Parts: sequence; structure tokens; C-alpha cells
Amino acid sequence: MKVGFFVGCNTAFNRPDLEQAVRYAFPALGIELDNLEGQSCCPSWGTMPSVDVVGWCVVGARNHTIAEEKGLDIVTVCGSCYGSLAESKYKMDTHPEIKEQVNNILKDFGREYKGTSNVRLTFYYLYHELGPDKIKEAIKYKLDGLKVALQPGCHTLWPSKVYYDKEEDPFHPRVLKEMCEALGATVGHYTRLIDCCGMGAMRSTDMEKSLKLVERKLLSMKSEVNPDLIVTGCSSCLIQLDTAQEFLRNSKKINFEIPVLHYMQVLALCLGADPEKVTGLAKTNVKPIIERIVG
Amino acid sequence: MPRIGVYICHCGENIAGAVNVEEVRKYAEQLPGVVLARNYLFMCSDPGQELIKQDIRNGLIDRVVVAACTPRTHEPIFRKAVEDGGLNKYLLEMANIRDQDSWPHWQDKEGATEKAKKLVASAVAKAAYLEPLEDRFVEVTRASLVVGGGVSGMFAALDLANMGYKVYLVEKNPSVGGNMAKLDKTFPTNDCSACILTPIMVQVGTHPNIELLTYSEVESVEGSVGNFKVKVRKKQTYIDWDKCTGCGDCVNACPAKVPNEFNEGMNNRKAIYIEFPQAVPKRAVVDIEHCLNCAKRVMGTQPRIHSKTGEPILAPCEKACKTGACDRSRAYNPEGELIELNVGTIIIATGYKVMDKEPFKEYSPQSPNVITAMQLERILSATGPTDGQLKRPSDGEKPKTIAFISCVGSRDKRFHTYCSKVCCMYMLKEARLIKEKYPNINIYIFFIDVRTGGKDFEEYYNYCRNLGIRMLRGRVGAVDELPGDRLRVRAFDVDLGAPVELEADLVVLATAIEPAPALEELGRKMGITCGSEGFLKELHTKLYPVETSVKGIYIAGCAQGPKDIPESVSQARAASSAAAVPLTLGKVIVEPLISEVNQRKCSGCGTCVQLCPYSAISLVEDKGKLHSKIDEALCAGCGICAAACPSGVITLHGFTNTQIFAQIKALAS
Repeated sequence: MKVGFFVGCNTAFNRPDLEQAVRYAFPALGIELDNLEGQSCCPSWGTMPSVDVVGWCVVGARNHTIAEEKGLDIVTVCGSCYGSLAESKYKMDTHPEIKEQVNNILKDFGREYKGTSNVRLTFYYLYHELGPDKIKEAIKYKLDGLKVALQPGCHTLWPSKVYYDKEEDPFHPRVLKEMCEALGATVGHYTRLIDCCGMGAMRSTDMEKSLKLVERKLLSMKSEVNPDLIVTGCSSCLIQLDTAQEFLRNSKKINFEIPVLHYMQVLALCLGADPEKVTGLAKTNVKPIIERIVG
Repeated sequence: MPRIGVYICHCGENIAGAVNVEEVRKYAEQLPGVVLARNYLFMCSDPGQELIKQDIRNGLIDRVVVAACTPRTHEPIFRKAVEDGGLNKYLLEMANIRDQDSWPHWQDKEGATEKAKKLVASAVAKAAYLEPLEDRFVEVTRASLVVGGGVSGMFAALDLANMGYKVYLVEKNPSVGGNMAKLDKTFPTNDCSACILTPIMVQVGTHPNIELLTYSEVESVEGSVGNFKVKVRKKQTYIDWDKCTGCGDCVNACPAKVPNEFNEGMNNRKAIYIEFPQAVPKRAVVDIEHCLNCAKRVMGTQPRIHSKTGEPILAPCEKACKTGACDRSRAYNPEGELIELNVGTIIIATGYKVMDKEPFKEYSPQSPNVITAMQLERILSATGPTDGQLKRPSDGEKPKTIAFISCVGSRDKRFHTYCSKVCCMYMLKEARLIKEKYPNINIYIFFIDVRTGGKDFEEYYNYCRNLGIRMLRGRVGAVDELPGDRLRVRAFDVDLGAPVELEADLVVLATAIEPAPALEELGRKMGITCGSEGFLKELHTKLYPVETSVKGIYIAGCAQGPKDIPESVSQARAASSAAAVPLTLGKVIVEPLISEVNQRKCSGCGTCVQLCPYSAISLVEDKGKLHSKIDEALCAGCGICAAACPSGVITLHGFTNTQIFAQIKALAS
């Protein structure tokens, strides 16, 4: 099994430990990663998608063609890359006139978008291609007794029609839950599960509102689940939940700290990765959690 | 050589605003066969018609082309003018240069003028070949069929019956009453629904002119105005209704439990059941799908004999029945009974269905405390699952805070783009009933617009606000389940410009009104189309709101679109008076625009017999040779036979091959 790895800027520049986690976990599960040499910006929300639909699709399509040439699907750990690439693909596949304009521009670079590669998010890819049972068999360490709160992330769920891997009911997502349970975690439900974490464009334009959202989310998790660990499905959610807690503590909005990891980091740990390599850049204190996992 | 007069209408600005009428007139003047062409501000006005009549009387013309609006509304007027002038009224052809030209091409004046010329040329070409035709009359069967036994259908049936006509009232459920029977109180006067409806149901059940056919459905409709042949399937009740007294002993004895449709699934009924306490007719039916066949008493088999007592071993329902109405030994036909009715007119009043909560995942439909407004109606009703006590479904506690959400499935492009029209008022009504009884309960209504147009409705709304019912303008984005059976309602308050949250014990969804299931299929059986929203289409929104495109078939109530009880009753009574017209006249004019076979040339292949949707064609033998014969009374003039005849010997009068080809040629030149 082989798949193209779309790293994305957030992961590559802010959380390369997460990148390392993917690069450890996939081969450990018998899946070869292709580097998709030449990949560029996805391009991210708040940039081209907001101002130039065709331009956005051209950049997205260029990334798609790299995977198409190799006959591979694309996986990413980042909700923004996932959303942008899947939506640009959906736009081109359902609007022939956009696809035509895109291909007219791509022609100058000797490329043509065909629409043959699918965009997948890592944990959905593993869920559908391997399944929770295979993962259960493959892991060395289990999360036994660990209480977990989830943050699936908005781009992993909406708009659901654009995604290859779908939740049966995006208002009550269950794939990330099943994947965490496969690692032996106890997953607690909290009522703000599908709320926005406050990342994305809001973080860069209105810090106060962004922190308000993440505060509400963290308080809901704390009071309803009181988790040992937060597991995210998206690298942007990871960054937000991991870094915002210190801000909120300093301004006395919260008085606790909950360690935060991306699902791929937890999986890599369970598969036996070097904790320093795959979680080394976490701002929250994840050491006690790692100790509980790897003993 | 025919002498054709062309009359072009300005229709005020409607046509003249886009079409250069004078240019079209000049063009028409030089068309072959045209002896004069005139234009006028309103051709349908008296002076306009007078122009046509004068030209005919003066012997100037013997064919008339009117280029104006739609023949749907105006052809009868111009036919009359032609007839008054002294010509056969079928020597008229209309070109619709308004609906098909000036209106859609309003922005393109030149194009509209060119198209008008084409349409006029085509009408003129056909007019040259028009032939005089004579109207036919058919006798009318003086009886009517009403489909649907809700408040609309019942009023339509009663009106016709009171006029002295025989009425068959077909209802698919065991009892008449419809959705209104489920309601607790009715706005704007808050009278008890059952109190005002039950007397009507009783009248329907006892009227000597009404034959009540409940637990029945229309299977097929043939024929045309004056003489419809309708097949109705009486579903199998598995109870002898002649003997059943509606005592309910069998119901008490039955051990099977089935979700109760009448209480919107909030409690159970039995497999043998009476639909609701005030049912008319009050008779039991067996829901055979859920029947447990107690004591191995499968329908139509003989009971086993007890080895000691020698008595037959009966099922509890049979044992309980004192009249012998419940007799499982009888060989019932599971298909029921198919009966045929002959009626002159038909009224469709099949009502509506409310959407259930399942599609609205964002509102936590899995929570028992998220209910539809119809379910709340049943909770408030004395005959409902809680005997009228305000109890929330999860634990039977009285809610302290209730949130209503409006426009659930209505005005939402994911489901229905239309406004369901009654939700604002029924939410206010339900809120008011609760608030008046329990002033301490907090009630919030989340709305996107409050629409209380209607007599006394706005006053009702203001009264509710003064009671302390809180209105919040804002779409609800989510309802979350909280611990302790609480619910969190999250909305965006447009007036505050900020997201708001509210914790409630009960959330009520004002789900949309939808067309009744299988309405489209029923429409198809009768030849009536549904609009894009799925309701039956009236002939004309403003002028012919109860008529349909099929003569002799009328519509009333929510089958035509969402409406409240006052409107439904008004429309039902309008439909009954329209449906009475042909019955009163005793005979109806049938346009002679029907097909005719040239029997001498017919080869008797039978192609047309199979194709005719009205079963109007049969093969007859004449001097040892087969040929087809068209029954004039049944032919609706659809033209399928004329188009399909391999020998080309069927003529559709008013649309002959010669006429149509001339039209096409004129359009193509």
C-alpha cells in the first residue's frame, strides 16, 4: 500500500514533530509514503480561496496532478489542507467550466488535472484502508485507562458532500472515537464536541474571539469529561488547543492544563516511536501522558 | 381562399412594452390569406371584441387570428365574440405573444418583435385550414367523489350532499377527521378542535346522501367530466363492520403493541384498534402486519379444539367480542374489495403530512425531549399519550423552560423553499396554551420572521407577547443534549448581533407541512400535475384556484398547498360549489377537439387501442373487417392515436396534420 503525503505548511514549519509521527506510523503499519515532490501551498483558507476561485483551483490542481501522475491518493494531517484540496477538487469535478479554465492555465506548465486522486485525512484513511482491528493488533503500547476528549475539527466534517470519506452523521461523528478506542482509550462525550476551536482566520484577525471559543470548548471538556488528554484530528486544532491554554491561564480564564496531541502522534507513540521525536514540540506538558503510555 | 383577420393586442403595456405592435401589424397584413390586420389597447374589452364582430358582420373576414395572451383564460371570450359575429366559433386561432413572448423576452425588444411575427405567421398559416366544428353534449352522472376525509374533504362532501347530490367520501384511515382531529385547540379563537370537528364528522357519518368509504383508497380513474369511472379499494379490516359496535372490548384484550400513529408515535396502540375515541365510523380494524395470531388463530383457519373441554380455542379478541364481528375463522380476502363508482365530478382533498424530526441532525433528534409541534399538540390534547398533562417524554417531568424553533424544513433550501404558513400561529397557540395554564414556565420562540397575516392573527401574536412569551429573532444552529435530560439551544440573535445560548427542558420543532404521501401518484392517476414543491397544481393561481387542468376534477385544502383551517374550509366550500355546476346542469359541453378514424381506410392494426390513455378506442368488426372506433364521450383529444397511426387515418380535429404542418412551415420559413 502506498499513498502520497501532503505535509502542509503548519505541520512542516510549526509542528514537524507531527510530521515525524506520520513518517513513523504509516511505514510501521505497512503503508509506504510518497513525498509528492514539488508540492506547494494547498492554498490555505483566507488566501486564494477567498478572492480567486479559479486561481485557488489552479494551485490545488497542480498539487493534485503530482499525485495523479503517480496514481496515488493524497493524505494529510491538516484540516485546512484537507478542506482546501477536497473542496477545490469538488469544485472542478462538479463545474466543468472551472475545470476547463484551470486546465487552460495548467497547460502552460505541461500539466492536466484529471480528478483521479482522492484527498484523505490520515485517521479516516487508516480507518477505511486498515480498520480499527488491524491497528489494535499492530500497536505495542495501549492507552489503557486513559480518559480522552476529542477534537475532530470542522474541516474534517464540513461541507460533508466534498469529502471522499464521510461520517454517517457529521453532527455526531464517530470515526475518531472508534480509532481512539482501538488504541485502548476511554473516550468521553462533551456537548461542545463539534464546536470550532477558534483557529483558522479568526486566530489571526481577532485573537480575543478566538480565545473565547477555545476557552468555552476547554471548559466544556474539563467539566463534562475531565480528560487526561485531548486528541485532535487536525494539525490546526492541535496548535490552537496546545498553545491557547497558557494564554488563558495567564489571564485567569482557566486554572488547569490538559495535554494535547494529534491522533497521529498518539498512534506513533503506541507503535513504539521515540517520544521526543514525535511529540517534542508540544507546549502542554505531555510527559506524564507519555510515561503512562510507554511505561 | 380564406379571408383572415388578424387582431393584435397591446395588453396595455404587457405586450406593447416589449413588442413593436405596429410593426407586427404591418407584417401580418402582407401574410397570405390575410385581408386585414388591426391592433387595439385591450382586445378582450368590449370595444376590442366589437372590432372582430363588426368585421365579420361586414363580410370582410371568415377566419380570425387573435395575437394576445393565453388561450387558457381568453380563448372562451374570443370564441364567443366570433360566434356572436356570426361565424363558427372554432374558426379562431390564438397566438400567445404575451406569456410566450413579451414577458420572457422583456429585455430584448427587437427579438420579442421578431418572435411575435413568427407566432402570428404560424397562427395565420393554421387559420387558413381551420374547419367549422360543432360542440357535443354529454349527460352527467349526478354524483360526486371526494378523496380525503379531513376537514376540507368533509365540508366539500357535506355541501354537495346538502345540495341533494350523492357523494362518495373516500378516506384512507379507518376514521374521518384527518390532521385536525389530532389538534388540541385551534387558532385564533382557541376553540377545542375535537369540539368543533366531531359534530361535522357525525354529520358526514349520518348524512343520507353521503356514502362513507373509510379505510379505502382510490385505485384508478377513467373517463372525463360528467362520467368518471373510479375504482376504489376498500382495504381489509378483518372485522365485520356491520356487526362491530365500536365497544373496544377486543382492543382491551389484544396483547400486541404498535407505535400509535394518531399520537405521533409517542405511545402504543394495539394490533386491533379503533383509531381514536371520537372516530367516525367507530369501528375496529386489525393491523394484520402486527397481529400476533394469538392461540395460533391465523385469519381464515378453524380453531383447534381443547382436548379436555371440547371447546374451540379462540384468540383473546374473538373471545372478547360480544357481537361476532371479530371472527378469525372467516376467509377474508387480504386484498380487500375493489368497487367501482360512477361520478360526474371529483374533489381531491388529501391534506398534508408534517415532517418528522429525523432529518434535522443538528437539533439532536435522538433526544426524546426534542419533539415536533404535532407531537406537542398530542401531549396537550386530553386524548393524547399523557391525557393532556404537560409532561416531557424522557421522564414525565413538567418542563420549566421550553424552546420553540420555527421554519424547521420550511424556507430551507435543503428541504422546502416554501413557507408552511401555519407554523408561526400554531407555535404561538401552543405557547399561549401552556403559558396561560402555567405562567411560571419560561417559553422562548426562535424565529426568522413572524408571519401572522390573517384575520385576528396579529392581535393574537401581540397578546402572546404580553403574556411574557419571549420572541428571539435568530436561526437556531444546534441543539445539544446535556446531562440531566437538559438541552442547550444555540442560535444567532440577529438583534443582538451575537450568538446566544439557552438551556431548555423541552425543544419543539415547527416542522414543515409536506404533501401527503403518494399525492403525486394520485395526481398521475387523475392526470393532474404537481408543482415543484409537490402540491397539486390549480388551473390558475388567482382566477381558478380550485379547478385543475382536468375538467371536472377540483382540489381543496392542503393538497393544493399549506393553509390553515379557515382557508381550507373556504376552499373546500368553493370546490364543492364548482363541482356542483356540472351536476346541476345535467350535461356538459365537450369540445369537439377529439380524434376521428377514417373507418374506410383503417387497417384494424389496433396500435391506437393499446396507446389510448382514456380507453376510448376499441376494435369493432364490420363486414368481416376489423377497424377501430373512438368513443366520443371518452376521447379527451390528447392526440396520441393520431400521431401513432401507421396509416395516418386518424384526424385530431382542431389539430389536423395539415394544420400542424402549415404551422411548422410558417415557423421555419
